[in-house]
Amino acid sequence: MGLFDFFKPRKDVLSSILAHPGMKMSILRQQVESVGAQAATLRAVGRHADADKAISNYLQEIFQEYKADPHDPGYLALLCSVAMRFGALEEGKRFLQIIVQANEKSPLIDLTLVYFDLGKIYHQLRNNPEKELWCYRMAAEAAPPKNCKRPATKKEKAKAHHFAYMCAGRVVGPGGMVVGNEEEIKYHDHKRRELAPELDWDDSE
Amino acid sequence: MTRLQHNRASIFDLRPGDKVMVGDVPYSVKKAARGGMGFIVLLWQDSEKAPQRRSVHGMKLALKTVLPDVADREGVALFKRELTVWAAFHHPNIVWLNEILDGGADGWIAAMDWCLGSLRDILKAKHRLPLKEATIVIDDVLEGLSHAYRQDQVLHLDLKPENILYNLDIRRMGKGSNDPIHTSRFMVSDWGIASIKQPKLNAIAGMPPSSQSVIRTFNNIGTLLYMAPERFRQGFHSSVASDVFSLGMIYLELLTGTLPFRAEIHPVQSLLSGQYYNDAHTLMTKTSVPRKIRELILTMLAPLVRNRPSDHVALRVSVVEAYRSATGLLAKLFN
Repeated sequence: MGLFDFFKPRKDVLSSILAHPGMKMSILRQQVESVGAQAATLRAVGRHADADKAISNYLQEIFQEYKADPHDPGYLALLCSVAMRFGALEEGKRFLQIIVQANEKSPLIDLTLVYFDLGKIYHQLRNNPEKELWCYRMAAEAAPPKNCKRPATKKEKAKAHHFAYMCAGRVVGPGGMVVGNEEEIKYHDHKRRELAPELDWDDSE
Repeated sequence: MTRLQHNRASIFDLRPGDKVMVGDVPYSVKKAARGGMGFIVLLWQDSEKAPQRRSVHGMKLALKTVLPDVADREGVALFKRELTVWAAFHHPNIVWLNEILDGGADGWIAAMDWCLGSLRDILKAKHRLPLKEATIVIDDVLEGLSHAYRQDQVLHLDLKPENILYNLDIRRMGKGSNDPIHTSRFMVSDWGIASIKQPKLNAIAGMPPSSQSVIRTFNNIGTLLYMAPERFRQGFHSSVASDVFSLGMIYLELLTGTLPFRAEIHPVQSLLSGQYYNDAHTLMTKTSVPRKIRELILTMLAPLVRNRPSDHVALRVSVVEAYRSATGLLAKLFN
């Protein structure tokens, strides 16, 4: 809608729906399919740069919404899943790193989920297992700042420890040796069981 | 690329009632029709059999491909070029290309938004529109054209009521009226002979010999009536003004119900001699088109490119101003 809003007489139903705070996330989520379709169409006709741009714009849009409401973990999850689904891993990594850097300067949110998502992206990139492990370690150890409105739950912490445990046991050195520290593996195993005793951790392996 | 599956030998053999699979989503054919160069199939999703996963296409979908008799190398190249241009547009006033499907031997098939009809259908039913409604249509089309130019420096060059489609718009669904003008938004479609001003995109689109496409266009009298005079001259360079001319013609037709051409003069002759311009003036005076709107349309229809608006945004402002002047108190007193 634009210049003619004044005389386009209809009640703008969509705008009133969009004004509802809970709807922004829903609308952003619904865009996943259409952005994916547009990117696929652009790639089909050989416009790869434009496809990347469409995805990048979408990630940017999610990032802007996150900035408007950084306490809602939904935006982070969406950012990470969109980056992974569309293979925009470097772009996703960049946004998450911006969040980490900004939070280091003025702590606002619990970085557990941010580091966790960053670890998932490094896992997809498959070029830096040490960094992946580092992210899960950071996720496991991140503490919420004083004014944090939404600290990580015990289950989220347990998940970070679980991934750190799995990753530490998986990282191999040049000779095919496991380089994850044995003590560290034990530590994460212990912590995940402690944080979420209701889960059957032995079953997950 | 998602595969289109059906039981017929070719998409051109599809008949109403046939079953079609788009990826894993089942559809039924509601209608299959031939256009000037293309073949359109309208599909409705079989809701009971549809998978739980949401389909990007929604419940209704239109398939478009190039007809077999024009599907020579150039026809296919033109179609691919159209898809290349169209693929980037994601705007409420441009018909959305949902996906490009792999039709096997039928080549590429465009899966696009299913629309309720075209502006031509509305004109056939109503003959002409009130000023407010006509201006809403023109503004919608201008928004779409403006987006295409901003996004990729693309000019449409084939604007006519047949290529302006409409669909229900939740934002415009108010109380009472079932009139499509009041409940729909208008969208530009058919980018088959669009002009691409962006060199990078032009290279990707792989432009076929322009002379051929022009000949095909000239053969279509429906298109010819909306073409700017400069397009019939040697060394024509497309510009925003060419689309503005076509839009001016559509605006005029919406308000008067007819075009400024006489039966005894060939339209091309009228366009080249400027006769249409005088006839447009007479026609609008006869049908009491408000003076400000008349002046605006005559500017849009100016025979010389340099006298026409050459910027979408400036034109939209002019349309707003003309409409306000035409419907304001002074206009009511003096018109």
